[in-house]
Amino acid sequence: MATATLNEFDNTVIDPAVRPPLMGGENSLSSITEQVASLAERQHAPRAWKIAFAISTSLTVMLFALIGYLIATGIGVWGNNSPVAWGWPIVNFVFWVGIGHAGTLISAILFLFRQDWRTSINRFAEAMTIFAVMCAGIFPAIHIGRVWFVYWLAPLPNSLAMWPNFRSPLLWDVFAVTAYATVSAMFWYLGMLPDLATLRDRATTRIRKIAYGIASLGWTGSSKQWRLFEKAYLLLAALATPLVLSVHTIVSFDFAVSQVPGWHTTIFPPYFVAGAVFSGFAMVITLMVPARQFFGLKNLVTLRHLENICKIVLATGMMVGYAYATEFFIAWYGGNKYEQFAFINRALGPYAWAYWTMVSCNVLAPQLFWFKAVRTTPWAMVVICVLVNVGMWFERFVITVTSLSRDFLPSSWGYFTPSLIDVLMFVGSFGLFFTLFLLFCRFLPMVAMAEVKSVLPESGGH
Amino acid sequence: MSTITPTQPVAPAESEIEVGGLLAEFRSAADVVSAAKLLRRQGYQNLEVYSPHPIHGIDKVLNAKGSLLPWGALAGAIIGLTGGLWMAWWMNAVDYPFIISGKPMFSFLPSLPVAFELAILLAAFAVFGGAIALGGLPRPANRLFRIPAFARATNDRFFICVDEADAKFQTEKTKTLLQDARSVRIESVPVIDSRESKLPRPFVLVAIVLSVLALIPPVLIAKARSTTSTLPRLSFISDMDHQPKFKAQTTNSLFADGRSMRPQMAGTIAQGDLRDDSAFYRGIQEQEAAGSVSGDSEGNVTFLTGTLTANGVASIKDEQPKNVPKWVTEFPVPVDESLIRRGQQRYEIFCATCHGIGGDGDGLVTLRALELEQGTWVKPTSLHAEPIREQPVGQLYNTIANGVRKMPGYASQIPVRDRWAIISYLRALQKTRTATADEVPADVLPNMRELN
Ligand code: HEC
Repeated sequence: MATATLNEFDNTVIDPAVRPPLMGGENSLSSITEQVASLAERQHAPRAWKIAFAISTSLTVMLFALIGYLIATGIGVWGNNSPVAWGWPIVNFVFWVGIGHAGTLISAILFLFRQDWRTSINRFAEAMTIFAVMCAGIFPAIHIGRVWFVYWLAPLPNSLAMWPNFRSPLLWDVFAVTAYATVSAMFWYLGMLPDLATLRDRATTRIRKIAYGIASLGWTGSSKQWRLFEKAYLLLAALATPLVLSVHTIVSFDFAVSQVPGWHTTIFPPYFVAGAVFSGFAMVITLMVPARQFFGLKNLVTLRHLENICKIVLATGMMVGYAYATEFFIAWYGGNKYEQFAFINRALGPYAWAYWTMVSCNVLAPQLFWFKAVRTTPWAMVVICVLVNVGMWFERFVITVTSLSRDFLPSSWGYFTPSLIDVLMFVGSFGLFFTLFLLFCRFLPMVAMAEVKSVLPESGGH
Repeated sequence: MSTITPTQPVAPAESEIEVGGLLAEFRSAADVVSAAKLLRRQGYQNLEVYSPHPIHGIDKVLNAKGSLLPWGALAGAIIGLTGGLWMAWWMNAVDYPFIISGKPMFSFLPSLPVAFELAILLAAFAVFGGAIALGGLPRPANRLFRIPAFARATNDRFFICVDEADAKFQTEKTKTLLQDARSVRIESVPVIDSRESKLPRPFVLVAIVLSVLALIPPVLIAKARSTTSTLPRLSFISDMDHQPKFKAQTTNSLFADGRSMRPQMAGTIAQGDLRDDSAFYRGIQEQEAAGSVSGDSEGNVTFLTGTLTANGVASIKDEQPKNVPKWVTEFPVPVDESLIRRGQQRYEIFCATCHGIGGDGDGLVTLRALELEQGTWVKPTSLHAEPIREQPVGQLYNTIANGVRKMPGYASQIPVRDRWAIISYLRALQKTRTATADEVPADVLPNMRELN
């Protein structure tokens, strides 16, 4: 990967007089169609794809087998136990939801700010969002213990004549995550409609014709459809923007509305949102760098795209670091003994190892992005971004576990140890994520062709 | 330039084909825009432009109207917001009042997150559904798809379709006009045979059958919910309804006698068996408890069997003699100094508040109640009163355990042994007022002095 940069053109040079091109090489409408669509049209999957798919599907099968085991046996198979009743399932939930933030952010917020460079990566990031939210949704659903009563979370009339509690953040969370998953899926699908039609029109086999024919709903690209499409896309972006900010805010309420020291703080909503964007963008890099290499998309997803993302990672990483510092300051300034203890315990207590892993990965590692050389070296970005994701997992672990394991009464303190099932399920969730992702890369348009076409200079690239 | 649709094996001569319109292909967005402008200037109304990406400015050329989508979004958001707030209010404050730490049943801020999410969700549904539906989708069959060249509309070519319904449409004239506008290829659009655009027969049949079948489960559920049944309810997941345990009065192959209930082992006492000691636990003599037909063990039934007089007051007195239990007269526990001291301590905790340290009915609660002139407060009986002094210990025990008239029972606070301890102290307390000098031990007597 290190040599890859040599034959790439460089659009990262900043010359205020010249607008750097969004894409590299000679692109035309048909070359873009050809390049992107042919990836989804290959007869035989490349060997590397097959290997990766075999591994990730086996992990997925393992995940579902373990879920079956969990449902049949009970949640005692996890390490969760009093006083740490939340444990890994909630840590994993917050971790995955966080990752699911970059997609909508790229698609919606950057769209509203007319950042045209997003067109090359938004489809990719949106797919990542949806798959991450799917992984996230699994954990709280099985964490409720009696999964067959999962519908109790929804306000449905039932024979108990009971309704859920609308003042509980856990209920807010159900609404927020469901709304987010649904809106992201609609946004993704609507954006993909024209590209699915392209695949339909290029399809050669009957199965592909029927499958893409159904999926593209009969899209023709008439100016009426485009008009509605653009309006709808703009409106969905405008709706998704507050939504994406609200989701992690509400996830943070799960913690902040409770009384537990270390959770009961008003900084949580912005701090969680920044963390989510941070981890989401890190994940985009982690997936994008190998994918553009592997699928030969370097002219569409240029170094400049990657560099921009690195800058966002750096900025959000510093927000997260600032939040860590503020938490300590407020604990001291607030004068609450329990709060002070909670934070000293985080940094110096039995989970100090986790705390300092978090700080080094989230605050220190991204500092390397100050150097342009690092920002433009793909392998270096991947290493840093993997570290960031490790760090962000630890952040959720530190928040959830340290606060619960030592709250008010020393007599009820404990030390949390995960079980093997905990670990395997987390690994399995990566299997699910990558399975979906590989299927996406194989059968769906990875780059938003129509959007890229509309920013080509020959279409008057607006 | 002839149209050969895949379903027509023999292509009829061109002149015979009915033309549904013309489809002209262009190389670039600029070409298609200028062609559309030209046609509009000529007065064509029924035009549509097809392109692989949105073309800016085309809406103005085609004189397209603004869309309803923003209004749909607004309506969705309003319904979501009010619906969310309504749910929080109706579900938690009206239909199933949720009492949380005495907070108000409904408050705005905590109801907002759900309302907000619903507002976004419904607005997004409106936008998404609106874009699909107003765009005429889903539409799997389209006459343009019968023209092979049209496949490039989603790739790199631009098209204009002029419908023959347009007032200005004349096959040849329109064709020349399009050619002049730099069209690279012109195709005639087939007229759709109305038969073809319909769903095939088997599809319709299967769809009808399936939708009828789909109605069966909801109908069965609705019936089950509105009728009664003698059968046990269906439980798909039994939770803890059926536990793997042996119940009373069932058989069990594990034991020789085949019963799951086990007889008592020699030398053990079963839970609650100690209560059989009636004198100790109830202050009532054994034979009375065993032989009593009226079941009057606690002295409660006395009240229950009492008759009501005309003015509504229970006439207890009439019934009392018949049902007076045989009170224990001797302490059922050995009385020594430590028991009395324990009794004193318990008395001062539990009884003195009302009855006073000295037992004269002047406890602090009583004094306060009198000071406030509380009409409902009954002054506690003086424990030194003649009838109380005469009462057998069993009756005093019963008073502590079950209460008497206005005095509540203390069974839940004072364990059995402590009740006897209190009585032993009570007896000592009473003695302080009535004892004569010769009842006092000789070695204590010199230390006593005359009080009055
Ligand atoms: C809440 C105040 C209160 C407390 C505490 C209280 N009593 Fe009484 N007690 C009363 C009242 C009032 C009466 C008179 C009831 C009536 O006449 O309705 C009474 C009556 C009695 C009587 C007379 C019963 C009879 O047969 O007339 C005895 C004996 C007695 N109490 C013993 C005790 C003992 C022993 C304790 C401590 C375990 C105790 N009480 C605690 C309020 C109290």
